Amino acid sequence: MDFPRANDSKQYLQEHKIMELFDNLTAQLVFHRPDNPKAFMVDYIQKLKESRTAKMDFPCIFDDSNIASVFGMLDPTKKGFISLAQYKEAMATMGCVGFDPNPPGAENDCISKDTFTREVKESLAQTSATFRP
Amino acid sequence: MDATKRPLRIPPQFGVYAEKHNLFEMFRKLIEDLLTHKPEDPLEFLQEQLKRDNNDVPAIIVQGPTASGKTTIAKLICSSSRTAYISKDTLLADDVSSLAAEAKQCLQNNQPVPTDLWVKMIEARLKLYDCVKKGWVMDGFPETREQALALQAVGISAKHYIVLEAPDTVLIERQMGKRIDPETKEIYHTTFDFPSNPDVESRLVEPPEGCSEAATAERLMRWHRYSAGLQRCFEKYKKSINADQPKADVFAQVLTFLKVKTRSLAPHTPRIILLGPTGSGKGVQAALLASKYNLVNVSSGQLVKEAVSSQSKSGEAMRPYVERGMLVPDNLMVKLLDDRLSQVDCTTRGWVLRGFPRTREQAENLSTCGHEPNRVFFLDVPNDSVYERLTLRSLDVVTGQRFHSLYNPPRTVEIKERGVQQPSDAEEEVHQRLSAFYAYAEEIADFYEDAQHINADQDPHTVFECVESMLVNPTPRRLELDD
Repeated sequence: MDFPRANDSKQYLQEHKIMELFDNLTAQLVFHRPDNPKAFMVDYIQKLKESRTAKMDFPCIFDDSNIASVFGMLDPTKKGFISLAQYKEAMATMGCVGFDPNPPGAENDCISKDTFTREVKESLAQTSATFRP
Repeated sequence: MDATKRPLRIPPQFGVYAEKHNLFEMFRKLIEDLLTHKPEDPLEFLQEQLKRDNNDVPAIIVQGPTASGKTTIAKLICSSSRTAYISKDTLLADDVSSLAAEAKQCLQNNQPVPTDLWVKMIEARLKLYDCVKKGWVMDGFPETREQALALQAVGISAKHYIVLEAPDTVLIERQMGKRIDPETKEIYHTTFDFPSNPDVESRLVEPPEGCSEAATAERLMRWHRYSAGLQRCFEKYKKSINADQPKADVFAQVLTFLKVKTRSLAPHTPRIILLGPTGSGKGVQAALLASKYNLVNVSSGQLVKEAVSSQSKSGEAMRPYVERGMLVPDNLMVKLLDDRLSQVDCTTRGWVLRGFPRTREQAENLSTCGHEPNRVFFLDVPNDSVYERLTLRSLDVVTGQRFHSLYNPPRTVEIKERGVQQPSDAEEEVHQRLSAFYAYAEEIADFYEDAQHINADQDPHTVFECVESMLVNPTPRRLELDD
């Protein structure tokens, strides 16, 4: 059976990344637990709108220091490199999608901190940009 | 172990937080609005919706056959909850709107107003400030299933749908006595609701639709033809009320229905507190709830005993109090409960707590630890029943069997004579526990405003059904009413 209205709705949700937007909103709410969730959500959407115009600084719960500390946890002996498996797992944990599965250094199973940080930032920006491209 | 392989766990406080702010329903409503309106810029639209802050406003449709009193009831609801009143007449009376003019044109040409025109008029009306902020009551519209579906297609749906029902003969008789005051449009009745003011009495006229039996029967036929299909559109939030009663009774039933919240699909972890005097059956109910809903049965007395016998640090701190038969101090007690209720089984499965809190202060402390109950039940039972339940119990020292001289009497005189009473079942002891409970009962009831009272002077399973019905349905909301 084909339901035109249902398909329209699904397409609408996908096109405008509504579900991703609500996922991010939930993550923000879990993290901050504000007293007035509505005002908080209005603020978040306002930030998102601004970053849509500026095409940068997407609101996200991870900042640079978080990314650095994730890398630090994966690399406790301070070698400056992590393995490809660790890289993939870290990406999945941080909710990143669309990252490069074979970043530079993958052939040697050594991914440097710079590569990691760059990939995480790129894909976080992608996941946070929850509006029609 | 790879640090990133640890299981992700949402903090338990978030469940409480989401429930408190009704996040699930809020998200559902927002996505629903997005899908019905499909705006070009969803972000802008969401912001607008969030700023409106009108999730709780009433949206009520009152329906019924002719002369069932729907206008009277709808106006009563409006005046008591200060909502906007919408009916076909008020929509047509709008002089400014071009839509209303178009509709009037149709009526002058003796043509029915097309459905889409009605829908447009209502849509325009509902966008106005008073409907958005205060909610609305719609009287006598939609009249057919087609109209109802057209309204739903543009995202207009009621939260409460009230159908007034009465036998046809009653309605025909009512219509025959119906009189209208042409100046104020108030409705009176020659037998049941006669105006007290002689001025009003002199200017009463028959309603414009006529009150002959044939005309009424015609309109009733029309109602019966469309009502079944219409009501199917609103199945989930429909309530039929017998309109063949005095106005005040009908209105009281309507108000009770308006307090009902629609059930939501939000995940729900029961966190129950059972309060009641000794012998009210808290233990029995807690055990029943725990086994049926797989909750963790937490008894404060049991926890203290466990802590003392485990010789843990906190147990040792409590030992002197327990040995002297004193109450354990609040801070130790709250700490003990906090530890227990924070464990994974309690946060995932939910809990039922009894024997605590005993004072308002304890209740406040428990809430500040983050263990806010979502259901509080008072098991109300008269003192006489408590004495009857507790003081007549006895124990056969030879076989260890327990008897109750009324509910489960010992079989022979010999057994009866060797029965002994538990020291804690003595009348003075029970009296002491009862007065200890009632000393603080009122202030606890003040603290838990949403607590529900249950008559516990019944069969355990009847009480259990009562508790269950209040557990699985959302707690009724408070209406803000003007008298």
